[in-house]
Amino acid sequence: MRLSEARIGSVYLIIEIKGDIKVRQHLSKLGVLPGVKVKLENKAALGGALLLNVEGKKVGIERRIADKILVGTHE
Amino acid sequence: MIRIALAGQPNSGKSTVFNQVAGYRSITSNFPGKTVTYFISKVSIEGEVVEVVDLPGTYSLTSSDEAELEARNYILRGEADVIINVVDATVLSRSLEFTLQLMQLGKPIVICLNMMDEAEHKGLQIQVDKLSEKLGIPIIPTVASRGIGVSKVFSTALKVAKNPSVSKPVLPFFSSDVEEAISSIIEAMPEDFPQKFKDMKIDKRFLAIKLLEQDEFFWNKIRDNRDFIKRFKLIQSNIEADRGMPSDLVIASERHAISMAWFEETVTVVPAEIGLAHKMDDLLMHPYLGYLIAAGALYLFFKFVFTFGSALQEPLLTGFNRYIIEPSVAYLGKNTLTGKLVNGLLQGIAGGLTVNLPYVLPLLIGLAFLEDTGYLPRAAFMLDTFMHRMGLHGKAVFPMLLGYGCSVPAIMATRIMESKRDRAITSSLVLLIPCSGRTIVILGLVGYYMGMNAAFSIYLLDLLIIAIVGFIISHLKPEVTPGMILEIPELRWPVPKIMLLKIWLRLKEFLIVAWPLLIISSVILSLMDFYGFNDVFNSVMAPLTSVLLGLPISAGTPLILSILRKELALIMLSEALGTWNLSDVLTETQMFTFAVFTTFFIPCFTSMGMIVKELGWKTAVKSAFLTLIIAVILATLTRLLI
Repeated sequence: MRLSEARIGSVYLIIEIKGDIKVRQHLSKLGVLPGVKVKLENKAALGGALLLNVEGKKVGIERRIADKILVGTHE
Repeated sequence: MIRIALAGQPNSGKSTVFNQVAGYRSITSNFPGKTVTYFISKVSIEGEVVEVVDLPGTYSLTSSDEAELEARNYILRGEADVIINVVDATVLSRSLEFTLQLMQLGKPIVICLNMMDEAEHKGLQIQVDKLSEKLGIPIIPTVASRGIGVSKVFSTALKVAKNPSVSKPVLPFFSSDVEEAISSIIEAMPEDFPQKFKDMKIDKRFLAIKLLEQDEFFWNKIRDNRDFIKRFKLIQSNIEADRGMPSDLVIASERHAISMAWFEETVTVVPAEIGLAHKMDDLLMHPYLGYLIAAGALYLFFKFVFTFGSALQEPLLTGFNRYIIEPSVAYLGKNTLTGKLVNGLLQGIAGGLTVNLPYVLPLLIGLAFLEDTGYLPRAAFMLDTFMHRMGLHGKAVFPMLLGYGCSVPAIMATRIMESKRDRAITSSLVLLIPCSGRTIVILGLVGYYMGMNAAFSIYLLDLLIIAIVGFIISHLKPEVTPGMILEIPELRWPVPKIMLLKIWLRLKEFLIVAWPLLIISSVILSLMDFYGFNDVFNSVMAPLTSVLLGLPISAGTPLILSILRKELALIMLSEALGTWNLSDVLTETQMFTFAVFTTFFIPCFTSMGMIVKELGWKTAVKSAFLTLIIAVILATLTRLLI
């Protein structure tokens, strides 16, 4: 599933990051990498950005990028 | 002299550490030929004077942006004797990934483990000695905002600089498959490879890792060696197939794993209570309420800037005119060279003091407050979706709105954006926003003679043009950082001392760059007036003014000189046409054309100087050119259609 379709308050495991090296580099700098667990904390209305909790740190990403991140449910 | 460089991720408190020792004495410096700046200061540590360099804060040391590249190459060139790595203890595992990259550069390191108090609140118990032993690096715990531990960091750094054996980073190995790939790449490497990077001291292992990371800088230097590239690609595709991800992510994952392991071995996490800050965040970034709060915050911010600004502007301006300018000019004689010169000089001083400073000061206070509390990234988070329509990010909202006051602080405010592309685009758009100087022309000419609706239509036209231009240039300049990926630091109370220092350092840039420019332009203006350059300007401008735009020939001088001082354009026009009742000599079309042209035409000299200072000549020339073209097209259309 795409991260942009995820549910607020749930924890997910990142499976794949689509997109070119610039997107990957930028995300991996903030710890958003395949194999990492993220919690979706909030999703701004009107197609706004998503707020993630990545290992205790808050990271905001816009929806276009969240579309490129594939996640799986993690329990 | 011993040189100490500070390196660390954004929001690690690196600048706070730097400001604690360097304070108001620090100066900004540019990397040779680059617009990336860093701070530098001479500091006395235990009686010895050393140079401290505050490198730009970066998340990693790839070459994905200019700041990272310059910070890395600075270290690789061996310009620093020791590196102080400022680490945010609250995000220790991620920060250690950066430390790991620093360790690869082969310089002695001292770690300043900052924000220890907040880490404790978060329930992180860090065994500092154990971590220090694992890394082979001295680690000093600090709370930089309160100055705790900072002097020990620097005295340790001094010790390490004199005796580098105290800091011997222990470079960990990657997983065996990655290590094998690295060995094969090293084997395939021609002997002369590291020498391709003349002034940099790098070894083959470092280069191999950088190539796997697909680092453009290193890649470009070796790309002509086809034989090696072929062998490298083979090794790379093997590991990519095994790991099921691109090689740059393989390295990133490896670093992540090593840092996580370090973290897990040395940190105990105890449950922490959910603090007020966390609850506040649920509100500030609420899917719906977040928008209302952001709008409210923006409103309060600008209310603060404009209330403060307009309250000071009027009395200062009147006072300066009545008690300083008028008596001086009266004494020296209005039409003498000295009288004109002194008048120009004083007008320039008055302009900065009464028109710019009243807005710049509250702006800097407000911005520093928003930045230091951590609300700024939250506002950017919420507003992102709107700014996207123009190809910009949320943070662009602040400079754009400030542009209605004065372009100079607005251009200064673009600093809150990390990427140079975003700063350049936002600055270009800021120039298209009618500042208070241009507002005088719009309201005083079109508003006064043609009514408020006509004036309002210029503002609407302006918004439309900004949206169109924003859309076009953001598509012409593809994004380097693809969209918004933004760290949201913890909310915290600002520390007054740190905030004041930040405000002062920025204010100083206004005082030493923008203000002198304003004074110089003012003096030039007086000289031209005295020596009667007006006729020359009028005939030079005639093809534009009278042929294309259908304005009186004498409008040429006011238009050219409005580059120096926008708010004087209307006064100069009146003087040039010899009447204060402009409706006698200008048709409505002419008034509208003149106002439209002034609104979009090349922004004032001072704001151009600010762009040169902040973003370089190229951006300045390009944006000036852009505004000129837009002004000519729109003003011509105005003449033809209205």
